[in-house]
Amino acid sequence: MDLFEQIIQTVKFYVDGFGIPVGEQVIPLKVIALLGAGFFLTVRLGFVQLRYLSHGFAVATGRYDDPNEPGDVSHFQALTTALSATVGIGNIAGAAWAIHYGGPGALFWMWMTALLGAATKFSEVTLAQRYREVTAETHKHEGTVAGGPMYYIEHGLGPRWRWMAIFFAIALGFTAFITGNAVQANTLADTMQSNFGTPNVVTGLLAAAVVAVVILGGITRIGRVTAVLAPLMAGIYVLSALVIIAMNAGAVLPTFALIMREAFNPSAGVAGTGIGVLLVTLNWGVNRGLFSNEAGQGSAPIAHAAAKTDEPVSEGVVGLVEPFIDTIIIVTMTCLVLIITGVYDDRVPSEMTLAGGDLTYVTPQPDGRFVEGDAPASIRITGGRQPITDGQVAFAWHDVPVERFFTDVAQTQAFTGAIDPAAGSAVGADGTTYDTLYGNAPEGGAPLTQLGFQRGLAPLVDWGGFIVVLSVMLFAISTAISWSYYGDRCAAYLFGKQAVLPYRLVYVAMGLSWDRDRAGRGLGPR
Amino acid sequence: MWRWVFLGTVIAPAAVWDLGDIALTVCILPNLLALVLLSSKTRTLMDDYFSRQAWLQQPKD
Repeated sequence: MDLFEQIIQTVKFYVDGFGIPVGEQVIPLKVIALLGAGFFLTVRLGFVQLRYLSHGFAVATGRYDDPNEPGDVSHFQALTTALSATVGIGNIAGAAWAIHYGGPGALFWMWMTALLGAATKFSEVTLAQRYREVTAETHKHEGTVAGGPMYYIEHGLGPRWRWMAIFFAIALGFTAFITGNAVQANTLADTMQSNFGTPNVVTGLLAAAVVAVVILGGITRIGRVTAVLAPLMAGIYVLSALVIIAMNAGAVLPTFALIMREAFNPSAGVAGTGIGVLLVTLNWGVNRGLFSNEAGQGSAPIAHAAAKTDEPVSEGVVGLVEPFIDTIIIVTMTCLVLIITGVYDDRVPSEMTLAGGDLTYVTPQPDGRFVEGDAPASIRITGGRQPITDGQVAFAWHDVPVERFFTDVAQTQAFTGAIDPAAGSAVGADGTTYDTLYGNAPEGGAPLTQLGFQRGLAPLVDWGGFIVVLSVMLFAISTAISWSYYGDRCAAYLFGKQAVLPYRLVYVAMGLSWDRDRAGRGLGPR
Repeated sequence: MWRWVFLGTVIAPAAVWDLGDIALTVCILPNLLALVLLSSKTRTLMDDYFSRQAWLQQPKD
C-alpha cells in the first residue's frame, strides 16, 4: 500500500515536475506544451479566436440550428454541457490561489492563456465534429454520435496511431472518475459539512441520486439539464460579483491598472512569492488559467461532438465561446471581487490546527520571497511572536508567516512556549498542551472567495458568502454530471456501446465512496 | 480516517488525487500532438466553411 503511494509520488514527480528550469523556477513541460500548441494554432488559423468569436455567439444562440442534422443536442446544449464541466471549483478556488500566490498580475496571465487556449479549443471541437462516429439509434440513452480526441486520433491520423487513441481514452476515462467525479463529491460533502453540518452520508446519497437521475438519461437529458443549470449558476455568481463591482465603481479603473502593472512587475503577491519575481506570477496565472478552461485537455470536444450539425466548423466557433465565458468572464469576476474588496492581502482571524491542514514552514529570503522548507524540531514563541528573520524557518499559514499567536479565539491571551511540528502540538510556558492556536493569517482558495463576497455584499445583505457556498455546490454537481458523458464516450470507444450503462452505474457508485480526510486537497493550491 | 478502496487496494485519498493529476497530464500530450499534426485539416475546414458562408445556407429538407 505504501509502496503503491510511493510509486504514484515518483511518477507524479517525473510527469509534473519535468520541465525547463528558469532561475529557481521550473516551467513544467505540460505548460510549455499547452502554450506552445495554443500559439502555433493561433498563428496557423489566422487568429481565429479574434475574428470569429461573435460568430460563435450567434451560432450558440441557435440562430442557425437545423434539428434535422445528425447529432444528439443543440449547439446551445453542447456548449452548456461543456461549460458545466469546465466551470467548476477552479473558477472559485483555483483563481483565488493564483491571486494569493501570484498577486493581482496573475489575472492578466490567465487572460493570455484563455486567448491562446481558444484556438486550441476551436481545433479540438472542429476535429471532434469532423471525425465523430454516427451510429444508428439502439437505446435512446446511448446517444447516436460519439466523438473526441480518440476518434480524431484514430480516423484523422490513421490506424497506425490507434494505440495513442486507446491510451488517451483510458487516461481520460480514468480522469473522469477522479477529478470529474470523486473530487467533486468530496468538495460537495466538505462544503455541506462545514457550512450546514450535513452528514456526508446524506450529501452523498442526495448527490448520487441527482447525478444518477440525470446521467442515466444520456446526453439528451444531460443537455437539457445543463441548458438550465449552467446559465443559472453562472448567472447567480456573475450577477453577485457585478453588484459588488458596481458598488465600488470608482475602484474598477485603478484595479485594472494594478492588474496590468503587477502582470509585468509584480510586487504584491501576498504569499511573498510575487515580489519582483515575474516568473512566479506568470506561472500561477498560466497554470490556473489552463486548468480552468481545459483547453488542450481533450475533454470538452467530446461534449461538442454531440451537437446537431453537419458543419464541423459551426461547432468549432461555439468552442471559442467557452474560454471566453469561463476565464474572461467568470474567473475575472472572482479576481475583481478579491482585489476590490481587498481580502486577497488581508490577514483575518484564523483557527490554526497544528496537526496539519494549511500550515507550512517557510524561510524568508533577502529578496522578500518565502521558500517552503522542512519543519524545524521546534519553534520558540515569546509573547505571541515568532522570530521572522532571513534564513530562519518560520511557522506559516497558507505559506505566509504568522506574526502573532494566541491561545484563545478572541486573541487576548498571547501564546508563549514552543511549537513542536513533529508532535503537531504546542506546549505553553506553564506546561499546557495546545492542538490549536489562533492568530491573523491570509485566507486562500474557496474560503478566500467566500470572504470576498461576504465583505463585498455586506452593505446590502449578511449572506454574501453563501452565494459562494451555493456556487461551489452547483458547480460541483454540474461538473460531475458532464464528466460522466466524457467517461462514457471513452468506455464506448474502448469496449463498445454495451459498456455505457455499466460505466454510468460504477460512476454513480464511485461518487458515494469518498473519505473524510479534510486535508483540503480538493480545494488545495497545487 | 476512512480510506478509499480502489483498484483492489487501499490507498490514501491524496494519492488518488495525484493519480488523477497524472492521468490529466497524460491526456494533454497525445491530444496536443494530434491537434498540431491535423492543423492543416482544421485550416482547410475553416477556410471552406467561411468562404461558403455555410451558416447562411437554407436547412435541408
